[in-house]
Amino acid sequence: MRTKEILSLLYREFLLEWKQKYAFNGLLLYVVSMVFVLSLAFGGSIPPKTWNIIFWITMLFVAINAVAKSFMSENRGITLYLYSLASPFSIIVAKWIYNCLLMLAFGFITYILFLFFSPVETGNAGHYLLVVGLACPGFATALTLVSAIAASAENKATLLAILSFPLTIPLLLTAISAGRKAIENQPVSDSASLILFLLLFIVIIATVSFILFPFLWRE
Amino acid sequence: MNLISPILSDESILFRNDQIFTVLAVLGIIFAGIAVYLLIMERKVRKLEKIAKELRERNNEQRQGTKDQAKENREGK
Amino acid sequence: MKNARAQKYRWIYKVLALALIAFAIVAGFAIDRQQLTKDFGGESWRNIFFHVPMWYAMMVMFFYSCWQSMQFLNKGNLKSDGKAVNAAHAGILFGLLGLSTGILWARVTWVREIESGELQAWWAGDPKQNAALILVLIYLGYFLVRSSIAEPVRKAKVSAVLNVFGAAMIVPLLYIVPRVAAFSSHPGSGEEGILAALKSLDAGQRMIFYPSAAGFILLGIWLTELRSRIAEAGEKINDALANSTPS
Repeated sequence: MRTKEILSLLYREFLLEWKQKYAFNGLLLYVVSMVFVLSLAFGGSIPPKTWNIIFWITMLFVAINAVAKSFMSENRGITLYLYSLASPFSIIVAKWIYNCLLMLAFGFITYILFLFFSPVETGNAGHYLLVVGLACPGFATALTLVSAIAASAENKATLLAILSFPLTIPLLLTAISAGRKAIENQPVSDSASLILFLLLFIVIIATVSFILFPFLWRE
Repeated sequence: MNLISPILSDESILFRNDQIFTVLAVLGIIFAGIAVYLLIMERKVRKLEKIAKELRERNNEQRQGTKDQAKENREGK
Repeated sequence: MKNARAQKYRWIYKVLALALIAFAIVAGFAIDRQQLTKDFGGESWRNIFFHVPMWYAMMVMFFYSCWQSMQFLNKGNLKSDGKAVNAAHAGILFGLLGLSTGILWARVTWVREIESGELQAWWAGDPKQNAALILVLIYLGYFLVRSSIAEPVRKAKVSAVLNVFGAAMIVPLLYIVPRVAAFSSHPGSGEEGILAALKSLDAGQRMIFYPSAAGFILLGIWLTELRSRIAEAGEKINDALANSTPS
């Protein structure tokens, strides 16, 4: 396992982001605006079921924007040179880890922001955060390979948007369903099968992505 | 309000009014249309394949012809 | 060569496809109404002989397409990619047909009992139906990707990756959506009823159902094969014209 390669690629991602910061800040602004507009539209108090649903739809849009950048903002020259040195497996794993961490961060941020703008009375925070903690990496996993696919095409932005929606529906539905159970204060054991599904989803789709990515990379 | 389809009774409106024949006729027309379309496509594709084969054979003959000519020229020399 | 001999008998399965579907149409309407129909909306249950076979055909076509994509990724033979595309075309056709028959059937038979008694929606929120729509969307994305890349080998590679990835996504979808949809507040989705009806088909009905399914699948294969042959013949003609020495 080329751990060193993966770690150095991962480090490079963080470094790039730290130097420019514009992707993270852009996403932050995006999330704040969305949550703000939604809370205004609902007039401050949102019923729990609806809260859950708009939370996850917001996460969906954040995910698409966040993970989109992973393959599409590569400028050709230096990147190609660097990547000719590393194996495609390391590249995809590093991107995947980075996207998972990014999505986790934004999941948590969105959660805090939603609670800030439109608090909800009911709900088991631990349970909900467990769902968030599993579904956000799920989004990252599902969308990383899609971003790679869309990056190889011409009209990248539209393609990414169109491809992402059908492919994230199972994840979205599971997250909404599990989140609903959490917000209605039901015990964690109730949503055990859904949580197991989220876990399996990440494992299976990540594996499939790692296997398929090298085929995309042979340029 | 609970609206259930009015056909949920013992009698079948379809058969009673002989509407069954309308249904069958419509389905038959659609089916015939599809069948005719497929058969016409088959014929066109066969023609296309025949043209492809003829062109190929003509090419091979031409190539053979020029090869023979080249051979003759060499032997002639 | 095995191919040449097989080609002579190709017409058999095509005639069989048409015959089976014709049989399904006639027998499907001739068969006696039975106790079953009382629960499933009268005569419209006969749709089961057409709607479900169309979905079977769609699944077979998509599975074959995914398989061909995997073959292409493995061996790099562009012909496999061609087969994948053509099978995907047929799959989408059957998918759209299945969805439309499903919508009409659900509208006639079941109604969504919405609490406030408003207008019912056209789309029955039924798990199988939703899964079929998502499958169609994924494959429409597949065609979109193909149309946005010009170079044939890259086009084939990227779309093959999407094909396999989409299939990997669909498999959990088919198992999770029914379970998740159970929490929905809209009761009485159609398909559980249909599945129950399918399982309780008696011998006579099965004799119509399975041949109908086979007929639609063969029809799908025929459509795929037609597209492949057109593409192949076109290529051969282009090659021949390009290589012909001017006389």
